[in-house]
Amino acid sequence: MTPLLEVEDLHVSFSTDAGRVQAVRGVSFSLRAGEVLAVVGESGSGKSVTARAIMGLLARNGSVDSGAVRLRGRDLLQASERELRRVRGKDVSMVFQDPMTCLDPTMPVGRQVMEPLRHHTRVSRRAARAAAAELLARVGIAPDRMRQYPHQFSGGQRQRIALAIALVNRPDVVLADEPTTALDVSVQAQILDLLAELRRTTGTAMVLVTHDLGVVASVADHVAVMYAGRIVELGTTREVFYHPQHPYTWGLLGSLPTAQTGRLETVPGSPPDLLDPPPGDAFAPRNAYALPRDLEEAPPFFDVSPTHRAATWLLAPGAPAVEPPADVRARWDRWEEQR
Amino acid sequence: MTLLEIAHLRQTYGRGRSQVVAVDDLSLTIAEGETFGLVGESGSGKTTTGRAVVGLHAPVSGSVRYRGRDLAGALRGRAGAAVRREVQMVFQDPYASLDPRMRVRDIVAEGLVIARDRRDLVGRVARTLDAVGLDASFAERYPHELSGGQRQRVGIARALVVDPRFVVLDEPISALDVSVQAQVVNLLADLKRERGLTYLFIAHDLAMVRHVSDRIGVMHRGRLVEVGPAAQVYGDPLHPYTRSLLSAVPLPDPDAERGRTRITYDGSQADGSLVEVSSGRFVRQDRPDI
Repeated sequence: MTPLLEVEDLHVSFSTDAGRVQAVRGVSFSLRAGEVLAVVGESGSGKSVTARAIMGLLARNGSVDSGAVRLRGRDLLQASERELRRVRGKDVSMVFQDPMTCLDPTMPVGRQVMEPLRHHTRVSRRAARAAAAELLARVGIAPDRMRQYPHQFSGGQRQRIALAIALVNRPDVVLADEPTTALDVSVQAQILDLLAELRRTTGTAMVLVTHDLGVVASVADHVAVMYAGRIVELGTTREVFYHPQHPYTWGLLGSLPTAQTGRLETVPGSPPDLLDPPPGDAFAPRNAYALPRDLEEAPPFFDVSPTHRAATWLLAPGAPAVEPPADVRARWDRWEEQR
Repeated sequence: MTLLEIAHLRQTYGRGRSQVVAVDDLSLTIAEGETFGLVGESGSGKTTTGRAVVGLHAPVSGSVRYRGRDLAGALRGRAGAAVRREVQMVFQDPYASLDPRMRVRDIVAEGLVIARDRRDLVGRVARTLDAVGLDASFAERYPHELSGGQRQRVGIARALVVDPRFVVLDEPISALDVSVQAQVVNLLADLKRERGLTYLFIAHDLAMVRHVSDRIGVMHRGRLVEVGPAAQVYGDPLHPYTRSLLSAVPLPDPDAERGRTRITYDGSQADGSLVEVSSGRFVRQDRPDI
């Protein structure tokens, strides 16, 4: 079965006064219908830029330097702006952290939900209004509020309206960039339930950019861990949480608070300067487990299982066996027990 | 020993029909050396409570007492400047709370300059930056040259330079990356131990509040619904709102997530008062939920 969305060796850079920032340095993944891929990593790791590049929505100073983004086999990076306008909001749509990014403060919300439908399909105004009302009801917004403006809604309601706009054309893929980060936990729970239900009923696939590992555990099928513009580990959600292989993933999981009070594990140092990325594994200078080779030569992906791979020389044949931190060892033990 | 005592605090915004009661009849005490975690969702009144505690808003009714004295009176009195220095606040958004036109050294020094305490100013600023993990080169930088975690360290240094006893931390880590959150939480724990500080830690991130707090208070619609030792409130939540809040937090554990059920709570009619159900454990007795 061919994948629905395929990103291959994507490179994105931004020109700045100081030089070219290499924000995404060779990202590849694929997504099948109905799947949720979570992309995690810290600020500046390139996770949001990846999502925007797929949509063709990079800032003016950004450019895709090489790579391919194929939707049902068709390369979106080769498409003209005119062709892209037919894809955006129809086949692929995007939800942002701040719903006001996509809501027009001067337009009633009902019309904003109808607009992409009217733009992409030959549907009557009356039918579009009915479809918008039905979708708003599904996301928990009473249809009698269709004539109200965004400022008359709470943050959580606005995000649900943004979701309705993103979903009105039943897209193949939704790119969601921190869609629940600004929301309270109970509202977040409603949105996550809604996403899970929509995916079940419509088969929409999703790329979910987030830094919240709780959200990842609750909705994702697969997880891509990004660091300094590259994916360092990619696997099923269970593989990444219970059988993590890259030391950066170890650090990320280790910094989560637990019931025990005491010191949290932290990753010393800070991410590299992407104006001049280091030659090897970009995480190596902060990595107590790095091998000399990690500092010099970028590690390729080594397969852990057919669905799980990680880019670290620790996985190379003949690499010295390394004892991971105690909390990771406990995860591995749990993984072994359940096999 | 009780350091801070809030009794029947009420705070409102606006007047007439558009009046909003942000905090209603809130009472709690914080002992010296303790970390008290105050959790709740947007609009629950937790930030308003924090602002009342540092004297940014005078209470509409009720009182905030610091070391046994009425805080508003103490701030106005002859020792006002000293009390002002003892009670400090660290704000949520390190991007919005630092003046972009000021260098880090001036931001950190400002509290001392205002207090006309210029003795060894440069040295104290440098030592405070060092205490929060920023080397001397940061003193000359501007906020836009710093990462989010570094800015929050500056925000913490600004509060600490005047040697406070009590610090209100209003969502100090929620704008930061997970890995940076852990660094800042560890820093706050170190500073507390070294300087014998007392914290009021306000947050909506329940996992982190549990990690840092000795006791926790849960707020809903301007009122406390449950107060108790952190482990008990998390391990055995008694009020239905606390249960619903805990059940809404996704856990970073895929297997646990699969088996989780969410509890919803509509407490719009609930109106009970806090009752001590066991030593140090208070729960609001709402009809007909409990």
